Order: sequence, then C-alpha cells, then structure tokens
Amino acid sequence: MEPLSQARAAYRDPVLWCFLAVMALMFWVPELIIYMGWADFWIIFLTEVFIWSLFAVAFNLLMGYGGLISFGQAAYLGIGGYTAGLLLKYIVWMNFYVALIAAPIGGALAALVIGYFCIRRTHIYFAILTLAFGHIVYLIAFKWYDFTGGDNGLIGIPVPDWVKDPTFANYYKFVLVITMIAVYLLWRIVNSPFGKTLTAIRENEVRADFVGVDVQRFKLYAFMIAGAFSGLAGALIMINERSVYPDLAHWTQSTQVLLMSLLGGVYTFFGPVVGAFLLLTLDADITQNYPEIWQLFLGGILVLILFGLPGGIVGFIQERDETSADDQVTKMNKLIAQFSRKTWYFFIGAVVFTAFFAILQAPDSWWISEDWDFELLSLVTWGIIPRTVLQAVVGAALLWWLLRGVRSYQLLFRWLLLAFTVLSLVLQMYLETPLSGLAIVFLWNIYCFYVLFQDDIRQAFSDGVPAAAEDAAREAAD
Amino acid sequence: MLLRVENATMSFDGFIAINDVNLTVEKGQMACIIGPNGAGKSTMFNLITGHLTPTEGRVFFHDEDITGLAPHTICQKGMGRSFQRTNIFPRLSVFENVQVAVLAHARKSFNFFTPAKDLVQEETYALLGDVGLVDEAHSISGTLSYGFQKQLEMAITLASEPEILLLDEPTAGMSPQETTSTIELVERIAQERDLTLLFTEHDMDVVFSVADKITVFHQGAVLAEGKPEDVRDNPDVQRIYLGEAA
Ligand SMILES: Nc1ncnc2c1ncn2[C@@H]1O[C@H](COP(=O)(O)OP(=O)(O)OP(=O)(O)O)[C@@H](O)[C@H]1O
Ligand SMILES: [Mg+2]
Repeated sequence: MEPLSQARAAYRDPVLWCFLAVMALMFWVPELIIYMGWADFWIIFLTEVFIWSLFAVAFNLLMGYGGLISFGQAAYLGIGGYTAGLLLKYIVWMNFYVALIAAPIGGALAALVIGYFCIRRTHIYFAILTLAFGHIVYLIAFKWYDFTGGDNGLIGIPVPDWVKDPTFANYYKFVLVITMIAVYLLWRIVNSPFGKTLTAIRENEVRADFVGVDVQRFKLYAFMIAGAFSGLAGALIMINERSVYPDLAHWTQSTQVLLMSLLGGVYTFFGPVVGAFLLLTLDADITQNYPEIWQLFLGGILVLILFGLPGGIVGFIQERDETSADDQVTKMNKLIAQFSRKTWYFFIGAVVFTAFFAILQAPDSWWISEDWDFELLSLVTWGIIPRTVLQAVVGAALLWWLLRGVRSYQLLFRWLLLAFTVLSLVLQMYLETPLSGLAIVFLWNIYCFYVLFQDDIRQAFSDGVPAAAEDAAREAAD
Repeated sequence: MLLRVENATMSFDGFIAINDVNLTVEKGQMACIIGPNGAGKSTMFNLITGHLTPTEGRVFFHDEDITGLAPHTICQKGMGRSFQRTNIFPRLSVFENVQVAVLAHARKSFNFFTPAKDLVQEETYALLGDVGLVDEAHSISGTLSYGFQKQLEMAITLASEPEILLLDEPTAGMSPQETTSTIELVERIAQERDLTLLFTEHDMDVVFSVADKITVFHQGAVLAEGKPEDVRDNPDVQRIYLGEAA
C-alpha cells in the first residue's frame, strides 16, 4: 500500500510534469529552427540554457533548500570539466560516457574534501570559505601547466563524431535528455525526507539538531550532491566547446549562477531554471548590440529584483497570502485582490520591457520613420513608441474591465483574461519583439494560468462561494 | 536515577555561569529549576542537552555518561527539550515541522528518493492531534499565534518519543489563558506518556502547582533544593528570590 501512495505523490506535482512535458516538446526545436531557417545560434544558445539550468538548480539545492550560500560553486563546474576533459584527452582508450560519468564523481569527491572544511562554519564564514576554496581550484587550473595546460586551457578534446554534427542538433538533444533526467533526480531529492530535513536545517539549525538530525552530515551530503551535478554541468559545457579553460572555474561564473537563482527565486524549485533562461536571453539580446552596457544593465536588474521582487520571479508568481486565521471568503477575496494588483505589475512590466528591447534591437525604429509608411492595420510600421502607447492605453482599458469581472467572480472573465494574456503574447510575436520581451509576457501567461486555475480559486468561480457569502453578509447587515 | 549532573562547572572565558552544581532527576518526577534572571538555568539546560560541554563535571543519563556528546545523539537517546525562545521551522508548514522530527526519530531522514509527502503521516497527525493543531496542519508555522507556536514546539519535541522533557520557560510571554492551557497540556501529556519533566518557570503559581521538587539557582550555584513547601519556607530563598517578587 505504501509504495502505491508514494508513486502518487510523485505523480501529483503538476509543475514538474509541465516542466517535463515542455522539455519533451523542446526535443524537436532544432528541427523547427532548421525548418524555419533561423540561425543555428539558437540551437547552441538553448543548449547553454539547459546546461546552466541544471547548474543553477544544483546550486539552489544548497542556497534555497539548505540555506548554504556558496560563492565558489564554479569550482565544481571546473572540476567536472577538467575531469572529463583530462580523461578524454590523455587516455587514448577512454570511453566518452565513462568520462562523462567521471565528472560528477569528481565533483562530488572535491565537494567532500572542500565541504568537510566549509560546513564547519556558518553564514558569511561559510560563504567566504567556499570562495577561497573556489579560488584555489581556479589557480590550480590556471597555473599547473603540465597537468591542466594552465591558462592555455585544454583544447581539441576528442569527442564522438555524433557530437560534431554541423547543426549542433545532436548535442542539443543529448544535453536536453541529460538535463531532464538530472533535474528530475534533483526534484526527487528535494522532495525526499533528505530534502525536507535540509529545509528544516535552513530554517533552524539548533532545533533541527535537537530533533535528532546530524546537521553536519546532512550539510556535507547536500554539498556533495550539488558538487556532483555541478560537475556534470561542467563536463557538458566542456563537450559543447570541446575545450576547457580555467575561466570555467572563475568566481564570476559563481556569481552568475547566484544571480540566476536570485532572479528566478531561491525558494522555488524551478526558479533557477527561469532565472537561467532569463539571464542568458537578456545577455544574448543586449550583448549582441551593446556589449559595453551589459554589466550596467545587469546591475540595474539585480537592484530592481532585490528591492521589488525579493522572492524572485517565480516566487512572485507563487506567493500567496498565508494568514491562517482568515475564513474561506476573506481568503478568496484577498487572493483575487492580490491577483489583480500583480496583473497590473505584469502588464506594466510587459509594456515597458517589450518596448525597451524592441528599441534596443532596432535603434532607429522607435519613432515613426522618415519615409512615413504609417498604415492603420500594420502595427509593425507604426514605430515602437506610438504603438506602445496604443498598446498601453487600449490594453489598460481592456484589462481594467476584465479585472472588474474577475473580481466579481464571473466565470467568463476568467477565461477572457487568460485569452487577453495569450493574445498579448501573439501580438508581441507578430511585432517581432526580442526574446527577453517575449519571456516576460510568457511569464505573465504562466502567472494568470497558475493563479486562476488553482483548485480553490476554480471552485470559487464555479460555485460562486464568496459572492453568495457576501450577499448573505449584506442581508444580515440590513 | 534518570538524570544526574555531577559537579558541573561552566565558565565562559572566565565568567563562571555554573558553579559546581549537582542535580538529579528521578523517573516520573516533575522537577523545576527556578532562579532570578541570569542565574544559569538555561545554561544548565544547555549543559544537559549537549549544546554546551561543561568545563568540569559530568552528565549522566540512565547512568550512561553523555558529557560531550552531540545534541542530536543525546536527543536520540530519549531526551526532548523546548527552548526559551520559540524554536520552530518558521517557513515550513505545521505538518512539515512535526514530520521532519518524526522522520529523524524513525531514522528515515537519510532517504534521497522517496517522496516525503506520504511518509509517517499517521504518526505526524497523531502528534498534531495531541497538541490540538490538526486544523492548522497546512498553515505556515511562522504565521501562527504565539501560543500555537509553543504548542507546535511541544509536538516537535514529542516526536522523538522522549522519556524526559526539558522545558525552558514553557509559558514565557503568554497570556493567562494561554498559560493555563499550556500547563494543562504539559501535565496531560506527561501523564499520558509517563514522562519525567524538568522545567524552568518564572510564574510561581505554575511552579507550585506542577512541581514536586524545586531547585533554586542563584548566581550559578544551587541555593536550595527540596519539596515545594520546604523551598517556600527557606529563609535564604525568600530573601533573594521570593522576597524580590513580593
Ligand atoms: N554563550 C555565552 N557566553 C557568555 N556568557 C553566557 C553565555 N550564555 C550565558 N551566559 C551568561 O551566563 C549567565 C547565565 O545565563 P542563563 O541564560 O543561563 O540565565 P537564565 O537563568 O536562563 O536567565 P533567564 O531567566 O533570563 O532566562 C548570564 O550571565 C549570561 O550572560
Ligand atoms: Mg533562561
């Protein structure tokens, strides 16, 4: 009986299954890209997004679940990359898959040794220790010319022929499958008794200790698991480039993964995936035309996130008012009020973001162009500012009307609102908004769907519970 | 003898917080430590539960020397404690708070792949039932009222099926109603589960209604010890402690 109910528990989390389904669909994206004639760059780009997602989720096992902020996580990326790289380069008969499996083992062993020292300290001391050890790893890679090739790196690492196909589609698919498996394993781990206990340690180490948990041992294991998956990610990056440089272990990579987690949301499992996707898209959109402002922009985003969305983007999407004392009606009304407020944030964010990136990509199209080809029905020719103003005005009016309907629990409006966000996405695709802008609108879609279709809200809409209760209250008051 | 502390001394960089203290608790006893602020009551608890290692002296539990063992080891041997300041896992749900403790006690924590959701449900709900928190099972524990949080902490403590409970000021900061209900809860649970109790408390009404043995601490040393009546009548105690309150 027990195994059955356990199987159901794994089956129940819809977010996980959505993620796996989307990943499965993405298996055919290279075909789509080739069919549509888009640049091969996007295949490489997505491959990188997958690898960094895996790395970020592994990192967040420490940061979000364990409360252990590691500033030196790139060390394991480097160790994984070099482990597989050195094996493939110097051992002639080395099998590709054996080298790939050796990478996480190398990462875990390094994490065992380094972790042994780091977990003895907490908070900032832990962070500094991880940074210090991370730098030692970097320096070894950088200086030990005979072994690691020093700053020349290891180049021309032999890989099987199938990796080298000209469209990069094979390797894309390989990474996709590995990422799916690894993320699924990590998901199992954070939802296992081990993962639950780890969050308890994050919340209150002293108390966890005195319910009989061997805190140090748990931390060390968490450190090793993160190290293993980071090592795997490092090997995947190495194979992608068929070379490995000390930069892979540099602390800037550690801050990059930290940013991804913060951006997406540290207290959520999939936050780092969203963070990795967003950060790399922003990077790609901006660096293409303005490599020099990338750092400035990144800094700005970070400040905004830390002040405006302390829970990250996925945290913002998932956050609910958890005051337990409220009755059902108050709870529902609060939820809907919160939904309406956040929808406005998303709307404003989407309008600003899409316009900003559109201007960034096409710097001379922000105002109506000189050869006035203003056409009433072709928004594309309007110029970015005029059409953004139009979008803002029309959109705000529509949204206001829709939200009024939603607040009075009219079933139809729930669907209309969802349609409205989907249409916004379609509109932005038609306008060829850069990927970063689309990503925000897409997140808005997810948000609407996520909130409006949760069990209790769905019920409130179909049964009209809060409305009925309100009427009763009004009658009683009269 | 269930618990025995022999000649314990604890010094923090020269400051002697506990000075050559002997303390014994027998099975089934309701023992209480009282004393003014800073007398060393919490420090004494920390010595017993392994959070501090005494500078000198030894601690025995079931006649086994537990001095210097790690807190989680001591906990596993059958000691439960609550802390002076509420000590729960604030961002976990009420259910998870207790579940983590049950898992640790059942030695099921080191399991990496089984979904935790469905494990030890029965045990966890039974404990929540004991302290009256079943309805709150899915609330985030940090949002509960103070009284509920203390009750939750009790459930967490009971999850490891202790033989002896060490409660550090179980009613601190509570309203009179909360105090009454908490004390009733503690007494009921101690009786049902045949528990030994060692607690500290500032509220004298509570002390005299619950305790059957009182130890008075003063500046890190034992000033008096004995039955409640005897302690109440002790002139030294009246002077330094009870007198203060009067
Ligand atoms: N970790 C520590 N380092 C230094 N001094 C400490 C430490 N812990 C406690 N002390 C000191 O030891 C003395 C006893 O503290 P303790 O907390 O045990 O008192 P208490 O009897 O529990 O008081 P209260 O009634 O206020 O809880 C105090 O003077 C305190 O400042
Ligand atoms: Mg105290």
